[in-house]
Amino acid sequence: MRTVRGVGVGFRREIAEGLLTTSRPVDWVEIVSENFIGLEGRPKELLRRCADRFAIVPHGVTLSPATAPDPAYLAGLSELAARVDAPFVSDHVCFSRTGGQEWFDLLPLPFCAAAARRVAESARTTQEVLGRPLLLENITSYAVMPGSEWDETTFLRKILEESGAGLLLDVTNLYVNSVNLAFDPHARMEELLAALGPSVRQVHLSGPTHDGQRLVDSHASAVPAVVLELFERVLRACGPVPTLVEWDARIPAVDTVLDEVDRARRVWERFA
Amino acid sequence: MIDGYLEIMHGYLVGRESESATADALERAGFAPASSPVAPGARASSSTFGVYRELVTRQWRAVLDHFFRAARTFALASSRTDDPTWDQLTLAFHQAHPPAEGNPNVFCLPFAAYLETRGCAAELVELADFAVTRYRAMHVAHGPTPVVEADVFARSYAFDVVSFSRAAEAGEAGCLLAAVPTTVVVGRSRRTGALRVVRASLGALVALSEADGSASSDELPAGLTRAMVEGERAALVAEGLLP
Repeated sequence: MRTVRGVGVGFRREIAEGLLTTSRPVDWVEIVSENFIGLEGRPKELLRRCADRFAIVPHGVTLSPATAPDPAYLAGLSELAARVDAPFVSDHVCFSRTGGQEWFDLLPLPFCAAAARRVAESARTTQEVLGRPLLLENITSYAVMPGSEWDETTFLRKILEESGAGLLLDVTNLYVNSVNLAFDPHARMEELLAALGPSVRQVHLSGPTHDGQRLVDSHASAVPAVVLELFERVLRACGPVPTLVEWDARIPAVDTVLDEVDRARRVWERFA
Repeated sequence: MIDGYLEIMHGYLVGRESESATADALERAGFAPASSPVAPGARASSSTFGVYRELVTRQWRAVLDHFFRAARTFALASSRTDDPTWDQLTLAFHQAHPPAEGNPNVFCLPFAAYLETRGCAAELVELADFAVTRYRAMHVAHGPTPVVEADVFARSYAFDVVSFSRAAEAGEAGCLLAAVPTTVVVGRSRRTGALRVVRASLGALVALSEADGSASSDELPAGLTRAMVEGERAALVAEGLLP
């Protein structure tokens, strides 16, 4: 099984050739699972070339762990994870499917026992089927959903305790939530690290954009300085956990994306 | 209990229930308005979930708009007052074919056939079909011999969808869709893996049919010679569309 260490980057079609041919350092990559599950042709060929060069982690967006796990999806994910010899896979604490319909979005759950129990059950099932660890990511939300009895940290802690899954801590998501829901991101990070620090297995960094009404987790810009400050705090508490820079919209030239990776790596290396 | 929550939210997300009716239903199901902040010191939960229908709608619309960029460009530029708008067409399609798979591209694939069933303008149907055909060509495995409609595709359009799509997808303003009959062979190059779209003559179509075994090499259509077919076959080989 290949080791994931250092600072990686999201492997996206727009920069795929650049990443596969660059001489600049790329420690590892994350692929969007749904872009490769069960697909032949170009995706399969890209994946083969990517696996020849990089350690790969499949990062999904449709596990929808609050919904009953889809056996066909888990089978496809299992095959993909095996094909790239993934050390772990990841997805989000959310729902993205209702009534058999996909929403192509990560929708927030109520922070309550019933939701935590279901997510934990799905996470356990996923890990059993895949035979690999699952990391679950904190998402952005624009509202605290009806039925919430706990704060988000308590909700995440219950899920991780009950499932044995690790935490993929998206630092940008925490920052975006702090802006939209008006709380201090530094205090929130301290509280989260105190409760969940040992569970943090990976970090996500990205750049948000403002749509006029709210800050959006768009992955469409450079990582803000405040996010790098929060990232440094995570590394101080958790050590040099694998870190990934995501850039998914308005994707610039590969060298610009790799400049962001280098920025993050300069912080990461201080704790390596 | 969480299944009840998801069922109620489904009714809201598909637009069947209003936000207030959804909030009432959630409360009756035991999901009262949030009483705790998301984090210590955060603003109490004054914001509502009302934003999410708008957000998910924006998401699936973005998927269709991106996949069918050329068809959308045409629809926005050419719709007559009695035509359904692009937004109306995509909404109707989403309701008729709600996405059931996580890969958003799969959701897009029946759109061209849907437009045809609805009797939409041929230009729109052809542009959508050209987008779907290119996607299919890039996402299939090559067998040892080419199979038409499995790993290589032949299309005859009444309009020059190739030039229009190229211009529209490059963001060129004011592109026009010419009523020029256009026959193309579409596939993924067996040599480079790149998409190839080749304007094809009758000779090329014959060469393609012969290669997949669906046409005999004994008889040629009137006006074609064996040398012409061989020349076209060599051209398709050079493009990587035939082995």
